Amino acid sequence: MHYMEPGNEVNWLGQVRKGVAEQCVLALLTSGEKYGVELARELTARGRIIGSEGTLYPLLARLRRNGLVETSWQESNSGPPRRYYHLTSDGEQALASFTKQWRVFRDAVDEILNEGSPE
Amino acid sequence: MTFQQSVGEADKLVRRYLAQLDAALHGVDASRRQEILAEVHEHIDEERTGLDPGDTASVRTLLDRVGDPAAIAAEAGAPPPGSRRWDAWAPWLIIFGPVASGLGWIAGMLILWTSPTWSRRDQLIATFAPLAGLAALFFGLVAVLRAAAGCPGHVPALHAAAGCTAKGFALPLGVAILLVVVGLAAHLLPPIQLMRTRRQQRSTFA
Repeated sequence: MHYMEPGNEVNWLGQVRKGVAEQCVLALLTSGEKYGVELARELTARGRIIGSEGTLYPLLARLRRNGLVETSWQESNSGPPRRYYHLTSDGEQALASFTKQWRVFRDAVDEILNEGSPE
Repeated sequence: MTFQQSVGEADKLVRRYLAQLDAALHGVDASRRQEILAEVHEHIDEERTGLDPGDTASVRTLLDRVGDPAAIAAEAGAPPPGSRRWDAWAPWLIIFGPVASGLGWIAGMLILWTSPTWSRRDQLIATFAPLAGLAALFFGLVAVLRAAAGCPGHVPALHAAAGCTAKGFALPLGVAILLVVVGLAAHLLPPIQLMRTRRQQRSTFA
């Protein structure tokens, strides 16, 4: 299958993104509830954390099913009512534990990469 | 193009996109599929509120940003299209399998039930209706033969040719023919429906 091709340099990035995109959604919600379009914009604009805007929704469906986010409807001034997503306390805990593990992981990778670099 | 026409055109683009997404999400559990479809639909509506409703170029760009339905389906855990590669065989194995060899029919069932192409309803119908149809067809043909020979009647030579026995069932010719027709339809229509569903899906994936 094409996404499993070895040596494909986009491949590892895709795998990492897949793993961290959910956590980034949780992180974006710590500053307050957001609706889908807002989240999609931030995630595609900043380093293309998600591939396309539409892929956000399966991801949100997973988070909701795991009880990490919840939704509520709110009126909008400019159009149809919006579905807002907010963090649950389980979501906050999951994010806190991810953040801790991510920093340890990132530091370890950096350290190894630095040892391997010629300078 | 008039204003109404271009609004219609833009709406059509959105409807077509959502239909493609729905097809791509085949194999994802029904409630999750509905959730994702509804939220992508809301996303598109939200993005369109700022636009001129008839601006088809902007709608195209917007749908482009929402992305390839296959990518969204993959994120949702839809089975990859690879598991559909034997699909074309299933209808033929269901039609000819029971007559030619039971193994053929079993292979047809394996393809039918492991492929994400067909709904549970299509699968159930294509499993049972063709077998019932074949049985009806068989009894119908025998009954037609017997009715044509006048079984049970008084012409011994014809009786032997038609396999009449002293006992045995007798149906009026009309009923017997009806049984043949219904049996044939029950045997052939479900596999034909499988072919049609497969063709529709392929055109959305292409």
